Amino acid sequence: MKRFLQETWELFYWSLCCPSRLQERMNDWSPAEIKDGQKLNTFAWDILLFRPNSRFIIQYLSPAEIKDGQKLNTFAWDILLFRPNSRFIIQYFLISAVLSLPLAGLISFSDRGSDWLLGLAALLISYGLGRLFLPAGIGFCSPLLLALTYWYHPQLFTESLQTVLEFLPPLSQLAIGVATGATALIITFWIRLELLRRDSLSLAWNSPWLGRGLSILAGSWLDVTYGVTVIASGVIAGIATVIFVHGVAHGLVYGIVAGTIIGITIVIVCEFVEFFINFLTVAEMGVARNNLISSILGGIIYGLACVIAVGLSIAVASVVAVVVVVVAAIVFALPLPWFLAGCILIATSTAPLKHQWLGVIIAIILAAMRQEWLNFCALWVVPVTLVSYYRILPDYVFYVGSLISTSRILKRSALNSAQRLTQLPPYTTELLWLPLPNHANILASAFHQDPNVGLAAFQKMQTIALPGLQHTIQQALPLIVAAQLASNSTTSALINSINPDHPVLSLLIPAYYQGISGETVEITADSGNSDIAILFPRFQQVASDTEAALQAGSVALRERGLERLVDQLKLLAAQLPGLGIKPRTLQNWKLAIERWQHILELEIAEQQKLSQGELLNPFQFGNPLRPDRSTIFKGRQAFADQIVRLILDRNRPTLVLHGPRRAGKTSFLLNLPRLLPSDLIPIYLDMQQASMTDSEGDFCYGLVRAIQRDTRSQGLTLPPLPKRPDFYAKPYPVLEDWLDAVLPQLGERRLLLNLDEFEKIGNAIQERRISSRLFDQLRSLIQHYDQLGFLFSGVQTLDELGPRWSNYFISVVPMEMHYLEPHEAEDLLRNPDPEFALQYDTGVVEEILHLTHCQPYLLQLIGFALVTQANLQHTQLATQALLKDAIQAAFTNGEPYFTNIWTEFTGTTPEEVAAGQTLLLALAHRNDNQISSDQVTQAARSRLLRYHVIESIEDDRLPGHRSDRIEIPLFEQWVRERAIKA
Amino acid sequence: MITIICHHFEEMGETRDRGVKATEEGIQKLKTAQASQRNAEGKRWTLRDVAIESGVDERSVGRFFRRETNVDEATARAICQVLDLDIAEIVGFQALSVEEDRTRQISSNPFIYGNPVSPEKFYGRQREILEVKSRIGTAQSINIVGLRRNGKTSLLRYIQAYPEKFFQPDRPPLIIRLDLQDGRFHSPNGITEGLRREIQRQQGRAPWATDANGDAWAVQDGLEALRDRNIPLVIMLDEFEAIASRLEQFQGWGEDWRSKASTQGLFTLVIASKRPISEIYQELRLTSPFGNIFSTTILGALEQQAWHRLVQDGFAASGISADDLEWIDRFAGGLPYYVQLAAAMLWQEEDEGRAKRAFEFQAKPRFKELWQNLNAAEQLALRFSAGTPEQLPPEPALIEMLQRYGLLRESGHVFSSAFAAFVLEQP
Repeated sequence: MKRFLQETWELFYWSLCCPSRLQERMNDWSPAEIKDGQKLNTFAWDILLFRPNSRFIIQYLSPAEIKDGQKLNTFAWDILLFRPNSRFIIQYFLISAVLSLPLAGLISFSDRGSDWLLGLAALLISYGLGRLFLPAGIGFCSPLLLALTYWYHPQLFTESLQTVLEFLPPLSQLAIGVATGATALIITFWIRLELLRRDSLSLAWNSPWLGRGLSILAGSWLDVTYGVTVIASGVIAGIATVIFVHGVAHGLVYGIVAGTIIGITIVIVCEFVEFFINFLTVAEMGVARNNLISSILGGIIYGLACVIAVGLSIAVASVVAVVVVVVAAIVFALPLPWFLAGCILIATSTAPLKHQWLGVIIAIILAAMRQEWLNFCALWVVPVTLVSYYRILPDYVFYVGSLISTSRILKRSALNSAQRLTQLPPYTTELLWLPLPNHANILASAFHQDPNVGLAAFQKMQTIALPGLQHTIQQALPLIVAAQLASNSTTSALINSINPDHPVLSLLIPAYYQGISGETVEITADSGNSDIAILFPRFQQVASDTEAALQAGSVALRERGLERLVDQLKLLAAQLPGLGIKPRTLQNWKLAIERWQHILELEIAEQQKLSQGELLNPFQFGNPLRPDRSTIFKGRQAFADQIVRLILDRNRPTLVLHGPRRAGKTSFLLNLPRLLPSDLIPIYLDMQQASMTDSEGDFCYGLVRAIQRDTRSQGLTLPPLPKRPDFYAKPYPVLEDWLDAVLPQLGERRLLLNLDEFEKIGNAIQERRISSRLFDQLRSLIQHYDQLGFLFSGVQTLDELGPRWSNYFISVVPMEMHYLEPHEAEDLLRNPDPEFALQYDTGVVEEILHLTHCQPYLLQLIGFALVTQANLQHTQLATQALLKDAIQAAFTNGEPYFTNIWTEFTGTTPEEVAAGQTLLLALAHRNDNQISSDQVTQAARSRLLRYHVIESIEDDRLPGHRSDRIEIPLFEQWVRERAIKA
Repeated sequence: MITIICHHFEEMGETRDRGVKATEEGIQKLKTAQASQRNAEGKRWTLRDVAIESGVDERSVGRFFRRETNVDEATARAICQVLDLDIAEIVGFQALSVEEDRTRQISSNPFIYGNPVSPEKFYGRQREILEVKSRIGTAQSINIVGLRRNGKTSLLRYIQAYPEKFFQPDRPPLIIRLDLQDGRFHSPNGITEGLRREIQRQQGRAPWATDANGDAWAVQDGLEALRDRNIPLVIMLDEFEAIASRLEQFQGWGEDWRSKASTQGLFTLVIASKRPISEIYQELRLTSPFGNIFSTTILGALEQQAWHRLVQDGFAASGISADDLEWIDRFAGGLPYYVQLAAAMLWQEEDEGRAKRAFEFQAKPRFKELWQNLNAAEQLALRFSAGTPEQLPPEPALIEMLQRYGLLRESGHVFSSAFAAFVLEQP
């Protein structure tokens, strides 16, 4: 019983304050059908009164279904008796009855017995409104409103009833109408039955509506002899009644209200009728199918039932309708305080509908009603109605007061926020239109204390679209998300932040997780909280990159990846104030960033422990150093300065940069942009690139392409390139036309065209891919375009390439590139990268400088091998022993370099190569006496001297004499240990 | 010779069975597997190739493929293994006549020889992996050198399977592996087309049109577009020697690709070859700076710890003794193929005597192939190390080189006692 009473109280309270909870109960107690996989909400009419299923009746009667007799009975029982919930109905009527007690008390003091009909009408109206509006408890205000009206004007009900009764036709006419309607319904029934037997399901499905409609229309027309339909007559009757009582001024408005209520009544009546019809249809089917007598008997019963049902319904509906109309009329005539009380009742009870503008509409309507009596005093209606509808009083004011006091208590006693949260909306009331102060903080704090409670509250708030709770969500969301991110304590928890199955974040901000599971979701600041839209994707990126970094096979790669992420987080922290983050959440985001930074730093420390600090290998040998590897490009500034001086020289000489392979010529050319002043723009052309030397057209096209590419990287925009076929047709005119158009745009700037591996032009001419006209063209460009400078880069000088080259290019300045300066080489070894952590033991750097002779390739090679060796031996200190191992590894890794010198620079013929190799072996093994002085050996020696493989030095043992030695000690060691004579 | 060995094998007391024959379905699988293999010239395997690779008499291979008569089970197994097929699927489980438990053991032999190992079964090579990582991780090209069956292709497959171990996580690479044994890649245009197709397959769009393969600018633009999209392109060329005989027509291609891989930074090259690229060019008396951009990494013997783990993992269920490990070392010397082979034989035969004979039977064709791939100086050095009398000592540099390739141990002895015996037999 206690539980029953508690449920009754909850039904009442929830219908006024928590409609969604009441809806949940309705769904639980009387589950709706599942449609398209979704469970629908249970409607009030489903729980308050069952709704027979016409589709079921058709299925029941179809031959296929009839064969399965067992199932049909169960189905019928289920359909007809499952939906209504008597517990709910009784609780509803109990509340209505309790609320009708004031009315009952007033009636009991009067001496009019017929007024008890008013009590019945109060229950019926309450019930009717409940069926329409539950879970909003609008129906519960009607008994109170009736009591208010009755208290003010006890006789009006009786008078109105008499007036309405005068409108009704005589009893005999009523009987004719009802009988006609009933007969028509019986005929409808028979037609339907016949159609079903003939399997005309569609016709059977539609025929009752038409038949019943016509039947009721015919019956009601005969009853009242005027009016088009019952509904229309009800509306008109309402309007007419109101006009009759209060005049034309408010007839229309009152009429609409009254007509609507009458319509509601008629709907209830029709459903009663429909219920009886369907019930009897089902009940009779079993017998009627094969038995004519039973069918006739069923038809008679059915007809009689219809007569009773229709007659009773019309009578009841008439009474109820009249009562409603009269009450509506009287309410507006109440004195102002009572009318305001009525306004409070109406507004409070309609508030659970949660319509944004409904409060305003009700206020305007009520004020308009009142205007006729009280003039401007009626304006009081507006604030009173609004305050009641939007629940400012008493709910909001109560909670504000409560929160102000709570915030003090919370501070003093650290009261449990999770518990406190359940004492606030949406748990106590869902009707929060204005934001509550401190509510967001309590929600965020509850999340921190107990994420389950917080999440439940959050999700509950999400389902309620009222601005007060939505504001709380918007305010709390960044705090909660930031706190969740800051609550991570391990790397795996950090990575889990992007997991679509994350227990909290994926539910709080699902839009940010949909993309992860494969869907493409565009997230903008407008699509959610702007703070989150700005920052959360960055956290996601960091988490994703952390996961990727930890998957790297190398500890050094992992460390490097994590370090970059820490840098990103530091940058983000620094940018935070400028990102437009709300000041109130700024600190929380900052904490989250710091937390993540701390986690990653701990992970880096762990990785370092694991690897004992595996080093990233920054050295690069083989490939030229592109501008993006500028940290390991050292020195050569003197070369760049020399180039500037020569280019600005009045004679504008052509420069030839030459030197042995791997001396760093290409790296120098690629890094020229940052070595030269901004008014001298280097253009890089790689003659090894097949496309450059396929034809003269290709050369010219490649030249303008390179100019456009390299000037663009300097921030200049040049005219578009001519089409490639144009170059094939007339290569040089097209090139010159384009240069004529472009060069003036450069102003004071000059272009330095660097032709790397320029010997390939000679090869192309030799192979007849291009003609020697190219030389003419190049010379012409040199002579006639002051803004163009030329630098040829290769292994050989122009003189060595033969007269063709030296004759064409007269004013030539050769520049030989070879070793780095010792301090540049040392800088390379010690500082190849800002993160480089290898330490050198005493004398190791000096030893490397000596061994490599500061040759750039060998410095990079030894550096690379040294780091690899250090990583293999888990050390960060390069010792002499480590260097020894590294040298052996370098001999293997750098095999192409050593072999190239051994085979290409020892001679130009097999004999010379053999002699050169013998010479080198003798020098490496210090067997000078084995060196032959024959012509072939001398030729090989000259070549070796020319390319700095060997050098001639003062002989220590014989003053005044010179002797040869291999120039680079490391190569000497290679010859000694690895060289195998061809 | 193989026939003689078979007889010898038979005489030594090996349990012989009544033979097996492939099922109809098995024949189809055999032919499909055969068609998918390529020889050094890039052509499909003939029956002779199958015979050479599996170390089985060519007539036996023919009989097995034609289902004429039964072949002995060891032959069938060798053929199936070289074609990467399960013998039970080819001849039917019922047809295997040896005792049931042994058959089960054989069919689930955990050791793989003949074919590249799958990436998840890749062991060791710590130094080599570190070197590869340091190179390709920073877009520098590398030449992986190793004698036949020393794990080059396995390493390439390993890189392809685990790119995260080699590259920065924020820039996942586009890895393309072209096996130059495939006849389609025996011309520069063929390689360009292979590259184009693979990029299209992995990226979903072609970098240039098929008919633009010969248009250097179109190819250039396509590759530049990839680079500008910040996609590191790694091109692996396996079996580089396959184009060695045509290297002259690849001269221009080499310089162009050198430029693309170095100064232009369009891709990183990983080239697997039996000999260093510079040596290949040298042997052909061609001069080219193509090899200059590469670092060389030689795949020699596996680290002892690594091959011990490999063997121990294979014998995880039954365990393996120190003596057995010593036995495998004696025959394999840490070279991956021979470690797998010796361990497989030990697993299969469960007796060192039988395993030794089986190893020698299976390894002999491989030894022959290895011997043919060595130059005269190297052969002489090996003869000396194997103990040929009256042989002059080779140059120390040569000894050191053979040690790097794993053919000689640190002690200077030949890596495998069986190979040493083979060397001594050579005329």
